[in-house]
Amino acid sequence: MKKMYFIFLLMIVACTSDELQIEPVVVKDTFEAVENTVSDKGAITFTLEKEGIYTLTLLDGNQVVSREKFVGKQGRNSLTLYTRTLQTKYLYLVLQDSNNNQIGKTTIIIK
Amino acid sequence: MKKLVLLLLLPFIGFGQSVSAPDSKSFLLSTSGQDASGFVLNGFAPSATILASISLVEFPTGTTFYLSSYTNLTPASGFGMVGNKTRLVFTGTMSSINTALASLKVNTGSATGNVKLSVAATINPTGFYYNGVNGHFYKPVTTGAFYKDARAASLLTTFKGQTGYLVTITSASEDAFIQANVPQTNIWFACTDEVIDGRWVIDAGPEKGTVIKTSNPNSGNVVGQYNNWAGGEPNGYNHGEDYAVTKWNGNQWNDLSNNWYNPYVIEYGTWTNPDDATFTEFYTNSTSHTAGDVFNVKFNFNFGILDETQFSTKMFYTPQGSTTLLPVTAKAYTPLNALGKVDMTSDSDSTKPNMVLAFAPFTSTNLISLYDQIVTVSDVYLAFKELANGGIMGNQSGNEFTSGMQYINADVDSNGIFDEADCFRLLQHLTGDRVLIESPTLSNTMELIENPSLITKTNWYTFTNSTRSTYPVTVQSGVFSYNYTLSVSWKGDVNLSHTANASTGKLTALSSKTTTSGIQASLLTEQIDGKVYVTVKLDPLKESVVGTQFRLNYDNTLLQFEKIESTAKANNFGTNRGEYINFGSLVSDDTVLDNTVEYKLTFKPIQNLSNILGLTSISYTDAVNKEGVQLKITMM
Repeated sequence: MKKMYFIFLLMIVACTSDELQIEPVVVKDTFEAVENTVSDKGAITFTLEKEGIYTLTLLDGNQVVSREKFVGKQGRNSLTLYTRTLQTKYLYLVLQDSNNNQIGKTTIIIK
Repeated sequence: MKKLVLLLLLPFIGFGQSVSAPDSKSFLLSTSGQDASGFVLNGFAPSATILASISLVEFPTGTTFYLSSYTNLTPASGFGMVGNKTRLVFTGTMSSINTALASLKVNTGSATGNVKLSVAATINPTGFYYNGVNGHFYKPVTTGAFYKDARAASLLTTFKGQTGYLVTITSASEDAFIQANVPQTNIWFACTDEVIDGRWVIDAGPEKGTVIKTSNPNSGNVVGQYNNWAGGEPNGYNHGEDYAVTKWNGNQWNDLSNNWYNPYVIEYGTWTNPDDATFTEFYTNSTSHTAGDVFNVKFNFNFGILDETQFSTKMFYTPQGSTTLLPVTAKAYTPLNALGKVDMTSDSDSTKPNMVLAFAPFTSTNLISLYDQIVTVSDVYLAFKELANGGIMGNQSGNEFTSGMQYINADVDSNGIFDEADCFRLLQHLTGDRVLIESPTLSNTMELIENPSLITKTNWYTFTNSTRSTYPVTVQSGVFSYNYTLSVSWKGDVNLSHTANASTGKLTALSSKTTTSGIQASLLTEQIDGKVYVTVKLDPLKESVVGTQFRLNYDNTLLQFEKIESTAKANNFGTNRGEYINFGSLVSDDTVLDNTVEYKLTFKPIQNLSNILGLTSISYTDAVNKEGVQLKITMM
């Protein structure tokens, strides 16, 4: 019986090695780039050291135009940026923790 | 004895320097060497060295000028005396310059249009250089300074009535001009990435804040902005090089740290057109000739969210004995350019009677959206305050309005009387109970006025309903050039925030109560139990706030608006316009809006949403204090 399992396993590996091989996905951290070009429903990705309440703020100069409070998870986070309501092409994106400490800041260019 | 005193005083009395200009004329098309003489300098001391410039300020393609005589004149940096020009700067005595101006000739191409020639003159200042391309003066400081000190020191200087600023470089010609006139290398100019590494912005002057480059080193040049970085620069070496120099390693730019002690240049002048120069003791005059017949119109306005190119105009006429407006030509409406200018030459016909300029029909949807920004809480409050001060039923002796234009705009029912009916109509517009104009068309909302300064508090009602979205034009035999400058005012724009001043020829708002201070408001959006909540909290700081207004855009493909709640003890309003919510408060008693005021808007997601960033956004705010002064709200 053990031999049979081994043969089955060999068959699966032999037959599917090409199809199952997945290219490693490199997810770029939004806040590591000086600027990011984003279209509607584009992804904002970043890594958090711990779970907690955070805010993401979009600023036009010193004017806040949009701010979301959300629960961030430890590790990699991916959020969606909706752009249909935004009327400015260049915006700052700021990530803050629950004590308003700035964790990341970058420039967003709306495509 | 009196004659003797006068004779003794003469050397100390200014002779009244000036530049006189010739009368307008019409040039033939496609013809070289046409006489354009008639400019004359007057009143300068005979031995003084004068800096002078000749410019084609407006001209159709193919138009140039030249001087056939230029004896004893020296061209300024970057110019030569020989050949066809669109601009020429030189120095010489008054006598030699006048001889040259008498030989001024114009060459025309096949295109019709305005040929505006301008001549400027001033005593040539020592240590300053004049850039004839933009009409600015430059003072090199070759002793040098650290960048931040150079930036600060420049702002403390003045020249011919203009405050200086660390030089900005916005074109190759300006770059070359500075490099040619400062002997040293590594010249500081106002460009920095000190806020965001790799994001280079202009750091002084009229273009301050303009982004020219978004990343280091070899990419990210912003299209339309001048960049001249050396290869591999700016490299932001060790994240410590935040300031730019020109004339580095030849004639290019590099980034350096503030610790370098470099020469720098102070620039004077904020205009882009040399003809707009406002230097003191700087004398200028101009004449608008034409190449062929031309008909130009300039509309001065401030449309707010809509740019000028979304409007267009067309010529109509009324046949003798008829009341029907007919198009002069079969041409479509001609769009305005970004400065509000439009050339109607090919649209006009001098044989047609009773011609008018008409603005394009405009969609009511756009107009309603436009009106939510033109007529805001500060307009409504000011109208009520004027009514309270001046009494009701047409007594125009209130203390709040300072011009007749305000009465025209406040008389929203257009009956020639500003009264309580107008104020309540404005209030109903604000709260969304009733549209301000029953039929929201341009002819019911805007008014074209040639000279607003003629409209006073006592004669304003004679100007209403005369020229709404059309303006009469008169064509005369033998006159080739027609240049109308019209001010666009808006019904309900009581504080004149969107009504421009035509008489100055500039796009300057006429605002009667300028924004001098500001208040704050915070914004937070969160998703709780399947609903999206947007909370706006007011912080009036030290202001006595009596009115607020916010425009919150929302993505109506993903969110459905449910309700708005407010803690303000005032007339609260909140209107759903389909793609945005117009909300705020207006106080109607002696109270003010304090820091307990909060607005909470509730939306229901149309589909499951993992997060909501950008689904709602604030795009417009307005506020007003007890004195009727419009306040700026900083969203925190």
